[in-house]
Amino acid sequence: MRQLTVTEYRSTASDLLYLSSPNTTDIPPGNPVRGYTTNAASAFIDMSNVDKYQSVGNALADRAVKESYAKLVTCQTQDTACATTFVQQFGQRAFRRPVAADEQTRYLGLFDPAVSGGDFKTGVSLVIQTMLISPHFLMRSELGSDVGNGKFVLTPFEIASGLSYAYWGTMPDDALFASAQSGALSNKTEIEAQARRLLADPRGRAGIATFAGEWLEASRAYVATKDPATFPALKDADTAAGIVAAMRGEEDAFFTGVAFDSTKKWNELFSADYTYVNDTLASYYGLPLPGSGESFTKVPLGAGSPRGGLLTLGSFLFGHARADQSSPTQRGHMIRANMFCADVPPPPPGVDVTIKPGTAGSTGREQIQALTGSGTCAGCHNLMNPIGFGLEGFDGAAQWRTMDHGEMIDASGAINDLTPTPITFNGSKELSNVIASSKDAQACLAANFYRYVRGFDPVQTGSPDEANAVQKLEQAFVTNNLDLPELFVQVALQDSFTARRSVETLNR
Amino acid sequence: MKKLQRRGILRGLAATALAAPLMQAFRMHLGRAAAPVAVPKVVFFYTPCGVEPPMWHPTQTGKTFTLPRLSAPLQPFASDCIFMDGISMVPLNDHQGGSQQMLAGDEKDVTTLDVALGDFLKSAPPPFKSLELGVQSLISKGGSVAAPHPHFTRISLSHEIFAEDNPLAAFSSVFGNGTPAVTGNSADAIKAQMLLSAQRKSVLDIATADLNALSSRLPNSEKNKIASYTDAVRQLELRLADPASTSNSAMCTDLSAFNPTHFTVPQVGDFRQSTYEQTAGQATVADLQMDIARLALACGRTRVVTLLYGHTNAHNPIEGLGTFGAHDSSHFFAPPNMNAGQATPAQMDAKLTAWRNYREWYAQRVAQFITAMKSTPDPDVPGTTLFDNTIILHTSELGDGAPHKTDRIPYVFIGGANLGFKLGQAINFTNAVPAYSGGAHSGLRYMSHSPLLTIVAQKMGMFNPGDPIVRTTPSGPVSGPFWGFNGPQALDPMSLGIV
Repeated sequence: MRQLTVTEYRSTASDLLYLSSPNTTDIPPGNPVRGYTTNAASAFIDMSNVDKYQSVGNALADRAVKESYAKLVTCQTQDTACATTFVQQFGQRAFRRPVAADEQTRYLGLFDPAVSGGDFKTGVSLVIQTMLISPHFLMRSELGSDVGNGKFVLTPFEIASGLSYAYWGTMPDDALFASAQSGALSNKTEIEAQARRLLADPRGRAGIATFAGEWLEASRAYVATKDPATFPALKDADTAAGIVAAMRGEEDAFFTGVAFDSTKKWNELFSADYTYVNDTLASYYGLPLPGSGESFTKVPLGAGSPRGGLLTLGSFLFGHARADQSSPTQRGHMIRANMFCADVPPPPPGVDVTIKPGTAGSTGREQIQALTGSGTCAGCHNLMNPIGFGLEGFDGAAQWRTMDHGEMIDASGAINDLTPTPITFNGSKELSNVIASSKDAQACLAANFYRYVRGFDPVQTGSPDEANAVQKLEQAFVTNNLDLPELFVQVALQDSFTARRSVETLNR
Repeated sequence: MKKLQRRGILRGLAATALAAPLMQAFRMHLGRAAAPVAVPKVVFFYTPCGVEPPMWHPTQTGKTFTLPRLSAPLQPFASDCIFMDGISMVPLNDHQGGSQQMLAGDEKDVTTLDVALGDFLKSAPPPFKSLELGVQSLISKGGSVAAPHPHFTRISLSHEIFAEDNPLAAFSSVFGNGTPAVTGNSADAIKAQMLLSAQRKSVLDIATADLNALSSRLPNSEKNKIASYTDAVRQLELRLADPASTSNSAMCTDLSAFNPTHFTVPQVGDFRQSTYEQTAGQATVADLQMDIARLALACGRTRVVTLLYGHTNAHNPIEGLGTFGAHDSSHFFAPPNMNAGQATPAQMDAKLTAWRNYREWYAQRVAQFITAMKSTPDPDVPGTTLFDNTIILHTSELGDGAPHKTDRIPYVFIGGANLGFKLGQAINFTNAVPAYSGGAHSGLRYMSHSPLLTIVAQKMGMFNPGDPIVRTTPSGPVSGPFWGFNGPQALDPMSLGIV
C-alpha cells in the first residue's frame, strides 16, 4: 500500500471533488527519505495526523457538496437508486477501482435517515467524508492478484493509479479509468500509450518537476538561513523569500524546459547556455530583466557565463551552503550521493567537530581543507569536498564570485574513488562535463527516477528482480540516446512496474 | 480565531442517556466522585543542541544556588526546580545518539516514553493519549540517510511520530474536533447534536470496517501500518463520542482568548514556506504551542505533552537575537577573538553571541511556561494549580553542545510538588553515583538519563516501585529496572534525592 503524499492528496482532492485550490494546509507534511516524499515505508496515518485528515476531509466534503454537487451526483431522484449510483460512481473515482458489493452496502448505510437525518445531500456529504479517510482513498493498492508461486500482478485499476501518480501525482483521469475498466491496461502496449499520453499532458510536466525537485533536494533552499552581514541583499526576509521562490521556479522551468521543450536529452541538463528567470531572479543574478514580472522566461546566459545547467541552479547552490559561505562538503555530498549514487559514510559517532583555534588559511576552501583534508576526517571528506570545490565560484547565496576573502577563487577539483584514477576538473563547466559524460551519473538518474516512482530504494530491498529492473532501465536510457521523456516512459514498461512478489512486499 | 463554545454541547449531552454514563465514567476517572487526588501529568520540554555547560549549570549544589547566565531566567523559580548536572545519554554521544535516546533510553528501537505513557493511560484514556507539539521542529530535523537523527517521539525507529508544528491545526485538532459544535440545550439542539454524534460514529465505523477488511489481505509488515491507522481512527472515535471529556471550567468552554495576535497560516506550495516555519513566526508559534499544551492539560484533553523547540538541526535564528541559525551557532561558540575555524573572528563572535542569546531566550520560554502553569487552576483538585500536578522535564539531545556531546545535559525537573518531587535544589551526579563512564564521556562518571525517565514512568503511575520497567520493542517487550540503560551497578532511581 502506498500512502498519498501531501502533494498527491491535494491534487487528488482537487480532481476528485472538482475543486480548485482545495485547502489542505492542516495536513502535516510527510517524512521524506533522501528528499523523496513518495517513500512508502516512512509514511503513516497515525495519531499524529488522522484527525487532520478527518477535519480537512470534512471541510472538503462540505465545499464539494456546495460547489460541485451536480458534477458529483448525476441523478436527480434522491432515492436509493440514486444513492447507489453515487456510491458506485464516486466510490470508483475515490478508491480508484470499482466499489465492492459489501463496501457499497456499508456506504449506503450513510443514507439511512437515522444517520443522514433524512437529507439526501447530507448522505452525499457523509459518503465523501468517509471515503476521504478510508484507506482505499488515502493509500493506493499495489496488492495485485495472486498468480501463484508468491507472485502477484497488479490489476488494471492498480496499474492506472501507478501511471497517474507516477506522471501526474494525482488520480487517474476518465481515459485511464476506461482503459482499466476494459482490461486493456494489462497490456504493455496500452501501458506505453497511456504513459506517453500522460507525459505529454501539462500535468506530466508538473509531475516531472516534482521528481526533479526531490532528486535535487531543492526544498533545502527554503530553510537555508543566510547571514545578512555576509549577504546584505538577503537582509529583508520577504525579499529573501521571493528570491528563493524564484530559484525554485527557475529549477522547475529549467528541468522541464530541457525534458519537454528543448533537446530532451540528458546532456543539455549540464551543457545549457541559458536559464529561466523572472524579473526578481534576473535582478539577483545581474542579468538583463526579461520584463516578465513573476513568470519565467528562457534567457541566454552569454558566452563565458559561469552559469548554465543543473549545477549552477540557484536553488542547489543556495540550499547546499552555509549561512555565511559556500559548502564544498554539502555540494560535493549531494553530487556524489544523488548524481553518482555513491554513498558517503556518516561521520563517526561522537566525532568532535569543535572548531579548533589556529586553523590555517583564509579562503573557505583553504580552511575546510585544513580542517578536514587530513587525518581521520579526510577519508570521507575527500569523497565530497574536492567535488564541491568545482563550485567555489559560487558563494553561499548562489552568486558568482572571483574572490574569496581577498584571494582568487580556486575551483579545481577531483572526483575520487569512483574510477581507478581520480577525475580532475576545474570549475563548474568542467565538472558539469564530467557528470554529463559519466555512465555512472547517467545510470544514477535512471535509478533515482525508478526510486521516486516506485516509492522505495531498489538497492535496499536486496531483491534481484528490482536490481535487474533498475539495470534494464539504465541500459534503456543509454540505448535511447539519453532521452529524458523516454526514460520516464520506460520505467512503466519494466516488468517490475506491474509485478510484485510477496517477499518484496515484506521487505518494502 | 473562531470562538468555540463548548458549554452548550456539554450541558446538552449531560442531559442525555447516551452521555450520562460517559460523563460519570470520566468524573470517576478524574477522581471527582471521591476525594480529589492529583492526576499526574507530564511535559517533556525540549530545547535544542545542548548548552555551554558552565554557563547553564549552577556551581553550587543543595538548596541555595545561583544560576549562570543561560539558565538565569529560571532563577525566580529556583524553588520550583531541580537542576541536575552530571547526566549524559549512553552509549551514543552526539546529535544522532541524543535524538535516538532522549525519550527511549539507550534502547533506541523502543516505543518512546511519551507514547508509552499514552498507551498506558488507555485504560482510563484522556482524549489524546499524548500530544506532540513543535516550534519549527519539522524544518529543523537533522541527520541523513546514513546517519539519521530520528524524531524524539516514536512507536519504533521505523515509525516516527512527528510533532505538529502548525499551532492552528493543533488547536483545532485538540479543541475543535474539526466539526462545528451545535450550541444550545434546547430539544432541537440536543437532537441535532445526537444526529451529529451518530454521523461521526458511522463515518468512523465505516472507515474502520474498510481498514479491517484491508488488513485481512495484507502481509504482516503492512498489517502493522494499518494497525496504527486503525488505532488512530479508534482514538478519534472515542474522542468524538465523548465530548464531555473536556473539563467544564470556563477556560475550557470559552477558548476565545486563544491566539490574541490573530496569527494566520495561509496555504503555500511547500510547507517550509508556511508562516509557522518562518523565523518571524517563531516567537508567536512558541506562545501558541505553550498555550495549547497548558489548555490541553488543564482541560483534560491529554496528560502527556512533548513540546519541541526545534530539532537537532534548528535552522532558524531567533528574531532580534542573532542572524545565524540556532544549530549553526551552537557549534561555533568559543572565547571571543579566537581566530579559528571556518569563520572569521567577527563571525565567530556573532555566532557565540547569538547562541548565548538564543539559550537565554529558550530559558525565558521555560519561565513563561512555568508562570502560565502556576496561574492555571487544576480542575481535578480544587485549590491546586496545574503546576503542582505536572512533571515538567526540561531536556536537550546534547549536553555540551559545541563538541556534539551528550555530557552534562541541561536536565531540570520543574513543578509536580504534589507528586513528591523534592523541588528547590541543585544536584550534581558527576562521579557521585555508580554510573556510566567511558572514553567518549571524557572519562568522568556521568549518570545515564534513564533513571530520570524511570522516575517519570513511576510517578505517572505506569509502574509500581520495585516492579520491572517494561518497554515495547518491535521484537517484543523488554524489561529491567530502568527505562533504558541498565547501568553497570544497581541504582535506585527513587533514591537519588529527586523524589
